[in-house]
Amino acid sequence: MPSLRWPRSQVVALAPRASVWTAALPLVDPASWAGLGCDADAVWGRYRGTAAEPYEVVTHHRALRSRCTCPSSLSPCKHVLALLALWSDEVVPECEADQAPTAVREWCATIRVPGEAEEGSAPDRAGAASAGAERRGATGDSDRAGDAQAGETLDRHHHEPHDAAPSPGPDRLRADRVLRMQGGLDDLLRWIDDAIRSGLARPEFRDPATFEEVAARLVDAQVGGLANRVRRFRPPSATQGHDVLLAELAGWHLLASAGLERDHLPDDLRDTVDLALGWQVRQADVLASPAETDDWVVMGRSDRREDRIDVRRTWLRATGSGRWAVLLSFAAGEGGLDDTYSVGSCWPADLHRYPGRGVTRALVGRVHGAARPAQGGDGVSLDDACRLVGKAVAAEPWIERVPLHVSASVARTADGWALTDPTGSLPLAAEAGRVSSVGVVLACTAEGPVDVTAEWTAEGLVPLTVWADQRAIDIGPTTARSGRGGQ
Amino acid sequence: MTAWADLWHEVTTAALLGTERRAVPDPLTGPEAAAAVRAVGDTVADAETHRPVPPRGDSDPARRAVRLLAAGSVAQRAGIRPGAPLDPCRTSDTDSRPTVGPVAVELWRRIASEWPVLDEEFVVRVLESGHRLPPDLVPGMLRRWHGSPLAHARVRAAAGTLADWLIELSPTLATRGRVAADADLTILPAPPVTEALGIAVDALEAADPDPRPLVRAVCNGSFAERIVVANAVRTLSVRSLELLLAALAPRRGEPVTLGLAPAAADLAALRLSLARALPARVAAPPSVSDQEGPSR
Repeated sequence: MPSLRWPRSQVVALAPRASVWTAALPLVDPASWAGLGCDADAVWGRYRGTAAEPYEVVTHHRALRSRCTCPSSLSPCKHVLALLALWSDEVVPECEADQAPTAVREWCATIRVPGEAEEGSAPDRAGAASAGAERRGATGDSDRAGDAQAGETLDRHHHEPHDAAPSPGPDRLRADRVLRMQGGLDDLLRWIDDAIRSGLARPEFRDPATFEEVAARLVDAQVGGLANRVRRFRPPSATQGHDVLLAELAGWHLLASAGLERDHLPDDLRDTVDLALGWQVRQADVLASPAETDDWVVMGRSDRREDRIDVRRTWLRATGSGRWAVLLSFAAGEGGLDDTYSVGSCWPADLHRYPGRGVTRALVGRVHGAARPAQGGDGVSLDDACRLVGKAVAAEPWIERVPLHVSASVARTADGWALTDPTGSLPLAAEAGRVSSVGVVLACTAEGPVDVTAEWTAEGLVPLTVWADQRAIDIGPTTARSGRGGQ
Repeated sequence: MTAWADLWHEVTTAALLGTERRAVPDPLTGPEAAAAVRAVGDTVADAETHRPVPPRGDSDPARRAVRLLAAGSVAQRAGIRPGAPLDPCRTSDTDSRPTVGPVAVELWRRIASEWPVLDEEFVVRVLESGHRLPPDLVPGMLRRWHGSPLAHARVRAAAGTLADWLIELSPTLATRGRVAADADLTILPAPPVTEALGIAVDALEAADPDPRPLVRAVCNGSFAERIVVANAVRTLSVRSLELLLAALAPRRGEPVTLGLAPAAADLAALRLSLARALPARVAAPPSVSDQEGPSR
């Protein structure tokens, strides 16, 4: 029975402090481990550190409990986090249920999985929903350590009384997950209703801690994708209007409502909703999907710090079909972001898309030749760009960014900068004005319009690439880990 | 205001004050709804066809307000239209000098990320070669030397009128300091080297050049001496750079890997590439007195 692995982001979210995750990162090395294994309940291994004896580490990933023989008082300790990260990366081999070491089986037998006592009482909709999720690898967003009230913290010292409940099957696990997620989405909708009832002008809605609490509850409910979105939200300052808050709450409402109604959605929209909520699709499954073979131009790159992880979005566009796709890469600790696909290069390659509609995430499969430099040159008007944004929003109403390739110049506005052409103007995001990117676009358009690849966001356009002088000039947002690809 | 604008105003006001204090308006229906759809653009019609779930009836004013907000937000975004065209920022002044080529631009990227000690030399080479800086490098360079008036003036000279135009539009790119009017922008201060390295450099620069002392110093150098060794390489002429590189690659072109030899060879090769990509052509290099503008 395969284990349902968590995404790396959920392992990170489990860390009691950022420093514990940082300390865990050097340990995410298979060479430092022995006896690695996992099954539907647990993941285990021996960490060979500097101590005379290796540490025995085991985590019950469904019950969110763990045990480590290290002397650390932290819960979970860095060894548990590193083990879970290896498991998330699919480095830990799967074992049959009866192949787990005896000590692991004995320890797992003492663990009671929350909610299993109510077996048989699950509402029908959970079962129906789980069937829809069957082809996905369900992921468990871990509960935050320290949430003792929920009784689901990872605690190596706390052993539940022996509970001889039989190990549940994958359908049952998915049903559990769906139930938990639905509870979280219902909670979020109630919270939004309460916020509107009491009024968004209240000072608490300018306090990031308010939204941190909401995000934590979504993490508890294993709705990791939406939790990350809530956590990324920066409430308006005292001098800013409430437009952004209103629009963001509207987006959360739509996504949560769609999540609760996912069984009634068209397949492609349901896939999009599932990914946005935090269900994970295995890379192997994506790579097994039909390939989209084309010459893929790397149109732009944007790096952002999201929670405790750096995320790189690499926007690709097919020269043949004109379709867009996005590659994601992540980095934490001392790791770097993937620099393989530099802006302005063109790759003859197979692309495999994640399920969903619109501009979907993708993985590069087989590459059919060497990369060559690409040219810009077919930027659309701002009016046409708005139509593309409109279609993207219509297809995915909670969408946060849309890639655009326009031909335009820079203009000054009363409160910042904008791109303009004879069909109209669109403001640049304040984020772009703070960094040097607007200066580069300004300098390159001093003598006439040029092609610019940008991300549309609710706050304005974020320029990523200027195509000028036979070159692609990468000006996308950077983080400390952007490296040379992010200059 | 249109019915749509009235509705949006009312519902956002109710959301901000709270539905306990302010009534939530009824959604538009009939011709008013159709007019609202037209007002926010045709794409909303597409959105309607994609609508996944019919709205559930709900008597809770807060829930009704949230639904109106959600629908309104999506409608506004889906119906996004550009604002009125604006006057683009343009410069009428043109610089007759050609911009540096892609090879030199790539060398700049390497300098900025690997050997920033060569950054001012790059700008001097651009000036001496009769080229101008490519526009995309100018804002970053002006910002880079914001606190160094002489280097800032050098960038302005290498960028031409574009730099002054950018500074006018974005005053944060200016420098506060001033430079003497007769300052020669192509002269860089000699980097400090130790006495022993100075002697080794002199031996290499002599009419009968001997690279061995410098090669010895480089190969015996420790990490702590990296900066002074780099400074020594920075002082070398093109001919001496070629001799040093040849001396550091004695066996079938393979570089020596002792001490600071790899770093010195890399720096020497980069300087040599820079000299070849941007050979000196201008007889009378510009001085500060050639410049006029806000940050002089």
